Amino acid sequence: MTPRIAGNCFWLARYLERAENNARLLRMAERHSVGPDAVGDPVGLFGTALEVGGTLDDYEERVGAIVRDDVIRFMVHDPANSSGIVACFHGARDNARTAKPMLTDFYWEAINGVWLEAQALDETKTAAMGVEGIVAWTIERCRLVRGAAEDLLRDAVPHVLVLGESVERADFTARILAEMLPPLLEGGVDAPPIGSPLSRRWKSLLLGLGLTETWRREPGSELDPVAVLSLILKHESSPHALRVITQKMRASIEGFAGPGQSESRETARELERLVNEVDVDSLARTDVRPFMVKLTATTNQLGLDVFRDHFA
Amino acid sequence: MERLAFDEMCEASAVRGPYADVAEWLRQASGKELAEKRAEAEALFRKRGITFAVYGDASGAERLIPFDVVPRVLGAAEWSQLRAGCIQRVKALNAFLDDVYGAQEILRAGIIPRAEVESNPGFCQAAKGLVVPRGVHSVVSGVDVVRTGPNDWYVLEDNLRTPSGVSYMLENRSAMQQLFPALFHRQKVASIEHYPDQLLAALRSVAPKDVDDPTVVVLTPGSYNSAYFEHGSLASRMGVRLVEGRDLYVDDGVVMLRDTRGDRRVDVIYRRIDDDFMDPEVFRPDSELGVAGIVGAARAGKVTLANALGNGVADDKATYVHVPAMIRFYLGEEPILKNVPTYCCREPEDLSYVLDHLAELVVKEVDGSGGYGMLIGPAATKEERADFATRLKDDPDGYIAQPTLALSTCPTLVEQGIAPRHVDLRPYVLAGETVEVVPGALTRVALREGSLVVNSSQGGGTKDTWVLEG
Repeated sequence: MTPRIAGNCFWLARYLERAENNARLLRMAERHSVGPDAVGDPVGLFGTALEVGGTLDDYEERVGAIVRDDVIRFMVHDPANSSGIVACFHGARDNARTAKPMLTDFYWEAINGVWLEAQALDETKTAAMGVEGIVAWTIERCRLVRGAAEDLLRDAVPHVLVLGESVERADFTARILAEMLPPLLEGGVDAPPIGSPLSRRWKSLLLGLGLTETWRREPGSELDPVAVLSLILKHESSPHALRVITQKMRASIEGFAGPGQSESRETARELERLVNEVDVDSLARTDVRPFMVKLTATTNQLGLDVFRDHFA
Repeated sequence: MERLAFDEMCEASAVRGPYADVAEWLRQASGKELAEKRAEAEALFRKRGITFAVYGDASGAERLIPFDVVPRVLGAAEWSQLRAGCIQRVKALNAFLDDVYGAQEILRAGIIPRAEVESNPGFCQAAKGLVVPRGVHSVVSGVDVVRTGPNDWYVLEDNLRTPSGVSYMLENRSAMQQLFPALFHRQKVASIEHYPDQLLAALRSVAPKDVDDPTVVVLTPGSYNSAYFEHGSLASRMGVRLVEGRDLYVDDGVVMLRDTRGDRRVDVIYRRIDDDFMDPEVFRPDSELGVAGIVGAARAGKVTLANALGNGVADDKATYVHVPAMIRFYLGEEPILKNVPTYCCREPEDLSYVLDHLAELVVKEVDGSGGYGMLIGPAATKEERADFATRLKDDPDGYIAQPTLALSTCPTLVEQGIAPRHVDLRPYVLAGETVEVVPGALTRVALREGSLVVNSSQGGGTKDTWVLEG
């Protein structure tokens, strides 16, 4: 395919993933807000959600104080927030429209149908759905579109879609870890008592990352910080674990661009090495910030390199 | 005042043959059922993203072209005449284009004044000496036709540059088959689904010589163009790439397509970009839509542009009056389809007549399109006619006028139920190794009662067009 269309497919996938990530952030903040830890703390994790989404500054400038209803409105509906859920579906659909001849009719209709539904959503409807309702709706729609990729030709397009999704997921994972991990690790490396506020914060992190069910299936799953960090970084089969994400990124670059050398391939390998070689035990016991900075920076660089090498 | 129009379904209170089944269906269907089906059609079109943007609409919103669920039906014999007439016309127009950019025999013979052609804004110097395989300058032609009686068809205009709308012809059929499958069980409606195959065959047949397996692409200005859906739809249906100018470049005289797996040569470009924007080295230097050097590649015979450059000289309203003469000159035949009697305002006598009869005439810009810039005399106010008269006197060369025709009507679903509405027809003629027309066309319908303006950008709608077999 042309690099231009490949870029459209890349961003189509990034926008879908971004919509789902923002939905999970909202769920994380909402569940925290209805728990005991939020009493007397109305900001709760809504500020974290904005910070992780990279929109806190924009929110504070245009909206002001962090208030639950305003954050929900901003993260779902605000047309000026290009990372908002409705805006993400618009971005995905816009890119799909340009790339349409490379997609199947079914895939296009799936994404266009989601966009039409999103266009029809207003604040009254989302209020009636509630946060859990809008989150479920968002995640279901993203999965619907991804499922429609099933019968795309196994040429370059699926690889580019996977790459876009993976780059966005890696970026999101780096951001949420950078924001939430340092304060969590200040509580030490021992598993917090079951039912304690600290244990609930660890669970919030897992919820935000989409790793709750993976965690539950781990044997002896006390919320041991080293074990949790190991799962987030190195789990070998969870699609939301960084190891799997970085493997997918490298494989998808090779899948659509074929064998060869490029800066993006090198950066993808660097990211994979970073994740594979980190000693999680040491990381949990020392200052985690330098690793987070490097992780975030390398992930950002990968996004730039991929675009420059293949889609420009 | 509207003259009595020929109704294609009923003549002298009797249902005409081709409409027998449709008339029976309309008798049995309730208004509520039809309205529900219309809503279903709209949802279908929205789901498929069959929308367009109107130039100049500040909101940039995507609109649906209204689709009428009552098909237009033509019998086999009616179609046969139309088909033959369209093929004849396109053959003559292609011969004219090849001649006027080559030996100019028709000008030497004095059939058409040389000055008229060479001063025509559509006459393109860059098209002189262009390599045009098979002499086919217009691979895709849209012939706009209206009807005033059972056997009275008139060509309103020829579209030889970038005629659009064929994707709506295809999507309308698909929608009707989905919404009303039983109707297709009752009678044999000729298939049109092979149009993309014929289009691809025509495009491949005009590839540069010595290219065995030509690479064809569709060149679009991009997703903000009002016809973008069609560009993508045709590319998909033909299984070829949809590209923008920035996806192509010229290397050593050959047009190349950028590809993530290795750039490749392009042989035929079905271009949906106007001449002026095709090549910044030859035309508008500020164009970002075209490809620098592409005209050079076409002149060297390394790539075929379909449709070729310079077709505008043959499809404006001033040249239109000469098409019957072209048919006689190049084909030695009498025209099968009639031209509408036309007054060329550049002729003093015609201008004088037009100014005296504005209330009875339709006045059009010579190089206008989309139904814009025209005056429909009988429907205009005194002030509008006075204003137009001033424009005519200021620029007589820029206008032609024609008597208003009582365009035929077809049954159409409107708010009040089924009612007759004026229609026109655009068959699509494909020229390559052979000249073909699929048995179908785009019918455009003026949805407002009494209106003659069918263009989608001004509120017109479309209908599925059935040609019955046998």
